[in-house]
Amino acid sequence: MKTAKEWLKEFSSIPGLTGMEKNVAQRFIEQAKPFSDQVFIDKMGNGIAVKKGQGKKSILAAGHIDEIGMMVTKIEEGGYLKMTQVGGVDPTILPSQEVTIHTSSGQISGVIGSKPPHFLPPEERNKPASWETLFIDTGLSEKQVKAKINVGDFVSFSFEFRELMSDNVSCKSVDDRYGAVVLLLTLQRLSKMKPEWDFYAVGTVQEEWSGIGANSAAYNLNPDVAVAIDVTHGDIPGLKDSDTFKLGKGITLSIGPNIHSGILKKARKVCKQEEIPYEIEVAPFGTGTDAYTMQIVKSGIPCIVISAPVRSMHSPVETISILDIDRSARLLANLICSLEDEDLNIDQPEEEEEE
Amino acid sequence: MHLKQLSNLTGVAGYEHRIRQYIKEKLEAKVTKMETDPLGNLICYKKGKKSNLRVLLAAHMDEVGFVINKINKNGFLGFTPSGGIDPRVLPAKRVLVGNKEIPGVIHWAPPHLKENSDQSLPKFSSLIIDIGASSDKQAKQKVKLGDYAVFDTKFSHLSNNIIKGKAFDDRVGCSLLMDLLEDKTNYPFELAVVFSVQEEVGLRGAAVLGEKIDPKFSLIVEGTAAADFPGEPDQDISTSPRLGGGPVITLTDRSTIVDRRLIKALEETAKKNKIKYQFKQPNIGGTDAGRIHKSRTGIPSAILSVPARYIHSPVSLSYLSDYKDTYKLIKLSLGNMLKAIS
Repeated sequence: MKTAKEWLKEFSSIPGLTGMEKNVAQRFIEQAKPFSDQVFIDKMGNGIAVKKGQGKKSILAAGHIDEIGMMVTKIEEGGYLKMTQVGGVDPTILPSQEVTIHTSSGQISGVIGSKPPHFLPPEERNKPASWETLFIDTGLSEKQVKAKINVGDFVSFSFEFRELMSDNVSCKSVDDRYGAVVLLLTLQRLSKMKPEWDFYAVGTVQEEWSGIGANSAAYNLNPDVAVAIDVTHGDIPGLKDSDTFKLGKGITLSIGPNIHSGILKKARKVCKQEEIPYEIEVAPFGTGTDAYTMQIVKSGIPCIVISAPVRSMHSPVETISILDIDRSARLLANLICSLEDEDLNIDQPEEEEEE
Repeated sequence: MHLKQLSNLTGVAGYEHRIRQYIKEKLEAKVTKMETDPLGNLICYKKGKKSNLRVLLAAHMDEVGFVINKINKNGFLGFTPSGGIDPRVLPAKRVLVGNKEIPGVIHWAPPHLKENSDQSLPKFSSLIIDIGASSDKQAKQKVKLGDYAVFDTKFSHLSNNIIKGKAFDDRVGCSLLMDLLEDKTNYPFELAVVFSVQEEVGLRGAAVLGEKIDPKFSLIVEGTAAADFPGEPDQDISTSPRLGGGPVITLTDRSTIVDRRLIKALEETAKKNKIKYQFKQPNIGGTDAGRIHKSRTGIPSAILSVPARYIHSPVSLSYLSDYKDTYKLIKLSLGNMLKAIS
């Protein structure tokens, strides 16, 4: 039995940028195997674990296994590297970050360099760092760099794991190894429960780019319900209260056109029964998760989104509460075991929507 | 070499006790006499063959960092810099708070919400440290106002020659001077080696050294900013320290016009012993020499540094080869420098 913390640390440490998720998928199915009836990696690279119920209906839960990062675009004079983003990276956070370059012959460590203020023209001194001014510094000579590193090589943030107070932890790629960990914890729980529906736990690829992993998995497995397990924004000063959620105070359930009212209603009911604190996250357009992709696969799939708040999303210090990870898994496992045919009805009686 | 341990130790200006303690323990048996002055400078004497001639070598123990100046209701910590830090290096970084080295994180708005946030240019006034506390009450169990914080960066080798870590300014100097005191060479003069305090907040510790020690000359050993950046625009500066270029000799900086006789002695020693050396861009930065050379009736002073990229940031890079060349040049120059000013 592994804990949420152990699994998060383990999965955060495996580099898996969008398009190079293989090692994460491999570890995912390896860890899922003891709790599953079948595990495999599909054509797109998704890691899939199947937990059989009684086979009448099925539910798919997706946690994406890709992470944001960078890619080498140019080798400069002196052996410095220019780079661009893979997924959304704010260059403001990049000065002095430690990174790992993934070359065809192995990993090379580097730091992201920026010029100190007195080397910048006055008009640049009061601007945030930009892709134009930043570079990767391996300390190697130009000749060594050219022999080892190629344009197109992936660059990930280097792995560090810190335990903070109140069960909070900080590391890279919590977005969305949180999802992968929730899937494993759910499988672990289900092994002691009796679900009627079949459950597909899918570590999806390429969410940060196109969502094609979730698309192909949903198409292939054709579930009756799909759940995206993905992070939402944690509270830090400078952000609006309406955009963020408090760490460790509970999970969130999204509401909006991407969300199926019947399944959401059931999820809220399960939270109440299981005493899982949650808040509603308003998503008037998309949810920015795999649910947005999966909802319109084949003849349409009822979707919900379960999230835990994360501070400094898309950075090497993404911070999450272990309590919220456990809560997410507790909700998902109990939801799977309590789903009924009538939950698929999109026209839920309005008067029951009280809270 | 003690650089790994020294780089990983934590202490900003006024809080150098951990570094002082480490150096004390390691050097106690290797020196003639050791004392800590009222400001916290650790002064180590090593007798020479002619005790009336005394030479002062100094490196500062403090590193740039922060001091906690506010504990917010929601448990976040406000902080202010100790030493010169460009706030643009702060977003999404790990820090260690206080003597207990409580891990913390400096957060930054996620790109998704940036338009909606008031975080665009990083500023000390708007950044916070998150130690995971959910209230001020909880935070106060671990942290108090006035506690210091430093970057949480571990020393490592990127290759045999390339080293990475924090606080190379000036733990590099501390490590070199520890090496010098552990070495068994018997010089014909007395060494007064000082591990100084509060350099980063105005060269405070060094202000009292000249008066007390009264040396013939002083040599400040530093980690200095390398400037071998890509796409450097044409500047009116012909010499920029680069990694692999050897020890860096200062001509002038904002605090000192270095004694030409000492520069000449350093250059000649380097040439004679085939040690590569380079010059620092003039008029940038300042060191303890700024205080020492003005002490008493004037003390000839020079500055020799190991180049390091990205000093005053969470992570610096240096070459071991530069460290070793700097050590060699210090050792071989001392006698020649003394001769040059006699």
